[in-house]
Parts: sequence; structure tokens; C-alpha cells
Amino acid sequence: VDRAARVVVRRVDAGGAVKPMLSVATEKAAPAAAGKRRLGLQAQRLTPSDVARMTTFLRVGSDRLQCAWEVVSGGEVHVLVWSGNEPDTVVGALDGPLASLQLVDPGTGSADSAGVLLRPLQYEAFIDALVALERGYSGPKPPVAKAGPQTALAPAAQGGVAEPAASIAVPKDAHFRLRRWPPAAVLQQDRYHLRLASCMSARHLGIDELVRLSNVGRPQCEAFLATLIANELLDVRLSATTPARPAKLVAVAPRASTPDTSPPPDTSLFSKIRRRLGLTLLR
Amino acid sequence: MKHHKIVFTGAPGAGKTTAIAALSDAPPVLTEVRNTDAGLGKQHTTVGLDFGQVDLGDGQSIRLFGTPGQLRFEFMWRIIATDALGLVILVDNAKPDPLADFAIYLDAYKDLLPTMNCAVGIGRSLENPLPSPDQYAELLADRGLVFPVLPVDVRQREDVLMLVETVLFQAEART
Repeated sequence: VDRAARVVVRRVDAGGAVKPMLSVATEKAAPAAAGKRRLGLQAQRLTPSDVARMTTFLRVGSDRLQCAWEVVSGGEVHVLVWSGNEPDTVVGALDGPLASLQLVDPGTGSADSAGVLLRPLQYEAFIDALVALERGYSGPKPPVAKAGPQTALAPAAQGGVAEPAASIAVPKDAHFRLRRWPPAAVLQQDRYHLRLASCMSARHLGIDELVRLSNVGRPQCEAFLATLIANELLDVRLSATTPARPAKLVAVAPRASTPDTSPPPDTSLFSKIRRRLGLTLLR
Repeated sequence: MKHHKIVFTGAPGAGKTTAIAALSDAPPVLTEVRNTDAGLGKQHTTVGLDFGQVDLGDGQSIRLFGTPGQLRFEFMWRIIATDALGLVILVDNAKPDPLADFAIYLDAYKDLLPTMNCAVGIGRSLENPLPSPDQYAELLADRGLVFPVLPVDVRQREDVLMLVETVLFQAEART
């Protein structure tokens, strides 16, 4: 298995049996900004929730981190995040990890020790720990990228996720359709991303349509669109070439700043089905 | 009276019958017989079609159809899926070559898929993480198709609902 393709999280039960729990394609999480050092982080015996938090925190906290952290399944592992009695050997690693962080449940004896993080994993504690490790790491600097033609593949197509650059503006009058279903690392198991992607898999949609159909807030729509654009996953058409199709359905109000607890007053077929099946468009 | 249909298709053992049972108001009507094909690895298999229903009120309903999985029933697959509100393709990642299985269904429905609301559910992916959802998405992209690809456990109603929800979003976007 390409080490940059997948993380397999396993749990060891009381009998010592290793059970696969989760497999996520997360490697090459974000292409390192020029000059950023790449550091590998491996998860061992963490729960799916632990891994999801860790992956999310790495994305959200990338601005605070000096290095480009990647979740890896073997090879060059700089930090091990583990749970259980003791960490396993890192398969394929020539050297041991530089550091390890143990994740423990609240109330366990070692909770106050250095290198120990409490469940549920907290953003500040996790990122602080990585920042501290970065300070102590003085490994080789990454090779400087040579000027030349860019690779034809988008980062997502290579298994990674490109963060939208600050300069990427989502065109307001454009219509968007997916070129392919986004990789798991882009969707991040986020139900709103799933909604948005499902809508855009059917046809070109403008932002207003997308907000209305998905009932996802405009800022979230735009952020997701920016991520998709950065990963070259969207076909973008100007509105002049693809006029917005007037909606036949009663509009569902976009997400308000305060959560709406009442069901949308929509009597369309789709609303009937959703109500009947217990699906909801509320946040 | 207006009836809509959602069709569940996929290889034998992929979980079509289970998925329908997870949604249907009443226990689904099954056409299962004792399986004589040892290669399928299960005691019973569907030879006709499975049928479940969700009553929407006002004389409307969602009819849930499960296709027979075996290739020899291919002639039925498209008949059942014609004019469906959505198609859910279930794949069993524990099979020897799930991508090849998937390709069989893409070929069988190739005339319908470009305008079909469709979702792909990958079963048993925790124990068998490869092929990954991204590999399935890649196979779809190679054929110019974009559908939701989700790892699911069809024994969990929430997972089946997630597939249906992605189909509904597509249907609504096309309306």
C-alpha cells in the first residue's frame, strides 16, 4: 500500500486481537507551502473519532504550525499519536519517531504526564503539542522546488488536499458542477460537504441555488467551493453561458445565524420524503 | 395516486435486501430461494425482485425495489430502473474484485446513468479498506460520471438514509 494513500486505524481488544476500525485516505493532507518542512504523524489504536478530530485540527491549525504535517501510515514517522498500553513499532521506519503523544481517557493516572493528551482530543492541546515538537525538531530542510512546468494533476488527484489560497475568490455569477466525486480527504465526512457535492454532481448550480437546495450557509458553501476549485474538482461556467434554472420547489430558507428548530414549510415531494424518512435539512 | 421508485442494485450479497428492509414501512416482499451457488457465500439469494414501500400520504408512496444480483438476471435490471427517482448501487468490498463487480453495473446501466440520480454504497469497507471510495470515484470519472460514493453498513438505517439523501439532493437539483 502506498504509504501516502491510506491510514488504517486498528484497535486491540482485551483478548489482544487486532481489529480494523477505520481507514481514511488522508496522506499528503495539504501540500506544503514553499519552504515548509514535512513531518509525518502516525496514529495507532485511535478511535475513528480521535482520528477525525486530529485530521480536522491539522487542517484548521495549519496556520499556527511551521511545518507541513502529514498523517502517514509508515515510513518516515516523526510523531506517534497512540492509545493503549504501549505503541507498536512503526512499520518501515528506519528510525523511531522523534516523539510520541499518548491519548488517554479522563481519570487515568498518567493524564498529567508530559506527552499525554486527554480524550476527547482538544484543539489547543493538540496544536500546542505539535508547536512544541516543531521547536525541538531540526531535521533537514525540504528541497527547494525548482521552477518549471507544474504537474498536470491537481493535488486532490494525487491524494492530497489543496487548501484554498486566500486569493481564491469564488466567482459570484458562476455555475459550478463537480468534475468528479471529491476524495474523502476533501469531504472530511462532513454532512454539509456531502449535501453540496451531491447537488453539484447533478448539474451546474449557482451559489444561490446551492444555498437554497442544500440549506447550508453561504459562507460554508463558498468555503467548500473554494476548496473544490483549489483542488481542480469543479467545472466553472459563467452565468452568461449557463442561466440559472428557476426553482420549481418552494425555497428552503438558507441557514440563519441562529439555528432554526422548526421544519421548513415545504410541501414538495422531496420534503415529504425527507419528513417521512426522518431526514432533515436543518443544521 | 403517484408512486415513485428507488432501486437498489448490486452484486449478490451486497446488501440490497437488507437496505430495503431498513427503510420499508412493512417487512419487504422477498423472492429469496435457497442458494445453490457456493461462490455467493450465503444461504439465500434473491431470484425475482425485492419490494418495500414507504407511504408518503396523499396517495403517494416510494416503492423500493431490489434487483436480483446474479448476472443472468441482467435483462431485468434496466427494466426495473427505468423512470426511477434514484438508483443505489451497492458494492461488497469483501469480494475478490469489487471494482470489476462495480464495472458490471456501470455497463449494465450505462444508457440510464448520465441522467440518473445515483449513489454508490461500499459495504464491508472497514474490514476491507481497499478499493477506497476514491478508487470507485476514479472509475466513475473515467466514464464521465459523478456520483456520491460512500462507505456504508446497510444494516445501519442511518447509512442507507445517507445514500437516499444524496439521491434526493441530485433529484432536487435536476428538478
